[in-house]
Amino acid sequence: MPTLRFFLSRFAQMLLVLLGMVTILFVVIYLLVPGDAAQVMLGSKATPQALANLRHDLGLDRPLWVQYGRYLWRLVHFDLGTSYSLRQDVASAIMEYLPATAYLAGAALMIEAVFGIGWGMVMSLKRSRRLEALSAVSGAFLLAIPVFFLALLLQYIFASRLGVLPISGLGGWNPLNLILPATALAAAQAVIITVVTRTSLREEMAKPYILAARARGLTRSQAMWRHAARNALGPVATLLAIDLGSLLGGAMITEIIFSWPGVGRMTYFAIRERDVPLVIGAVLVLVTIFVVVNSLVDIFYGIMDPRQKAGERAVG
Amino acid sequence: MAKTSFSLAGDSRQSKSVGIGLPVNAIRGRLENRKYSVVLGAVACFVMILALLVPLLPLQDPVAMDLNHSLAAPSTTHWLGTDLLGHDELSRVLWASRTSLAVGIVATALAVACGIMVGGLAGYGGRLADATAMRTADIFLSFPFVLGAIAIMAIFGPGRRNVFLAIAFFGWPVIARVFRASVLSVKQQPFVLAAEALGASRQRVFLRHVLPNAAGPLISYSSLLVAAAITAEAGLSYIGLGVQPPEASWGLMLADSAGQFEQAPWLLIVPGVALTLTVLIFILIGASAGKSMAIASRSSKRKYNP
Repeated sequence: MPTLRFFLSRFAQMLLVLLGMVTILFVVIYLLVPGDAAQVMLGSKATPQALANLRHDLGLDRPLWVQYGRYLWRLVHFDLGTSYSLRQDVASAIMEYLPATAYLAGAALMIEAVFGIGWGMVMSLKRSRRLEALSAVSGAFLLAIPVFFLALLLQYIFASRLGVLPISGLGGWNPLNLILPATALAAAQAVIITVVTRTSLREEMAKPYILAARARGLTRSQAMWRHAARNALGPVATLLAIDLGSLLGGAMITEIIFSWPGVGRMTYFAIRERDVPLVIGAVLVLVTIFVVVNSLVDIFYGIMDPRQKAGERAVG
Repeated sequence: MAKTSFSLAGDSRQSKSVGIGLPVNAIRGRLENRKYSVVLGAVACFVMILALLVPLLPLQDPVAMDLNHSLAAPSTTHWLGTDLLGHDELSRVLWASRTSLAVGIVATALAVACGIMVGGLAGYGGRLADATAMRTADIFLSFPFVLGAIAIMAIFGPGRRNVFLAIAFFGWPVIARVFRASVLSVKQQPFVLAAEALGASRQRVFLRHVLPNAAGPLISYSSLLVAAAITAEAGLSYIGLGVQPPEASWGLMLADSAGQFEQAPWLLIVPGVALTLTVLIFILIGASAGKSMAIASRSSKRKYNP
């Protein structure tokens, strides 16, 4: 069963990466940070006795490997500790903020897919120099413009000047509030989707079966829709799925600018409050989502397209 | 291929190679066009020289407050206007370019140094070293770049030195991967075999023959990393985790503009445009160098396998 073996090996790889990541975080937090958790929790004025008691309660006086084992044990049980600032279980706090982040990431992904694939298709059919130049210049700018500048610019133009869209906030899940943050998040990636779609389609359109279809009387766009598209869009789908992972994990600045009540903004406040368990919990959850989504894409793509099992991912 | 002087075109065989936060081969075109590369290089040099010369320019003091001219629109005294505290915007934007370029270059240099060591070890150090180094790089690559940098800054606290470290911490694996791949191909070349046959030590072969010939592809990736580092620094500073006032940073300037850009749009436009154009230059250089390398390796392959 090569499929099962492939699946299992990828799954094992994913677990290995997760373990490595968690270990890096452990090393960074427990070995490199000046002062231990007890010191952080009690502040600099704590008595040595209180510190020693808390260290004992937290298990910080145990050997390092015992601490590491306990840390892993708690993670496996989704026990991420308690947030100081929210006075709430870290895992449940994150679950509370995750829907808004997922909502925004989903919308951004839709924009990327619709504009990226759509424009890529247009570019692969039309052979206009003017259109290519326009696309190249605007694409280069969209790649270079940092997401937070784009976000502020969109706020300035559409909310502040024109007043056509709400400037920030979730607005009770109003779709209008979604447009600006999702556009800011999607812009750069849409350029990449466009490029990959166009390249992939052009390669596919040059193949003999398209020539055969054209010989049977199909126009270029008919041949593209009926034949080339389904073969060419594999790499695009992979890219989109990979991007979902980074959208879920990387929307902090956008969420801050648009006062979006998601995990990224929550993490930002946790950092400002020096709420260490919440920061670590959020980073762990976001990075885990990122790794798991990427691995699932890998596995799914390998099963869909057996050629990929042997080699590496087509785009990545 | 594209017929315009500069166009967005990709080549899926190219984009397969390495995952980097930036689209390596997204911007492609007739970059073998020498003139274009020279112009890009000249623009980059101009920007860097300008940043170096900022202390010598007849600018107003970037920290001098002039509360009588708070939020003044661009005029002959303040060419790009002033901010809430009456700081001269032109002076601030130029001073901030030093921060951005310093972070871009120092963080990238750190990442490249680390990447060359790890990648060289992986490519030239035997199978065990290879497996260990590359799995470690994979784990680092599985962190989203910005999130990783934010986590580091949150733990170690803000400040310019930590920005260097945070960016380098997550930048090196890309360089390590690229360099390893390059070392693997170079060490198969006849001149390396010749040096080994002549009895040169492994160290000498690596330092004198492999390293200089394998470093080429790093130019493109380093340039993209500079762009990513400049963006990351501005982002970190924007959310208050990067460089701290009174140091100047485009990210800080953008953060200052929040809530005021309705009355004073120049506070948003000036640092934003400076940031975007600087990043754009390094992305274009990266793409241009990548294209040239691709051409060079294609033609060298032809030479070896006629």
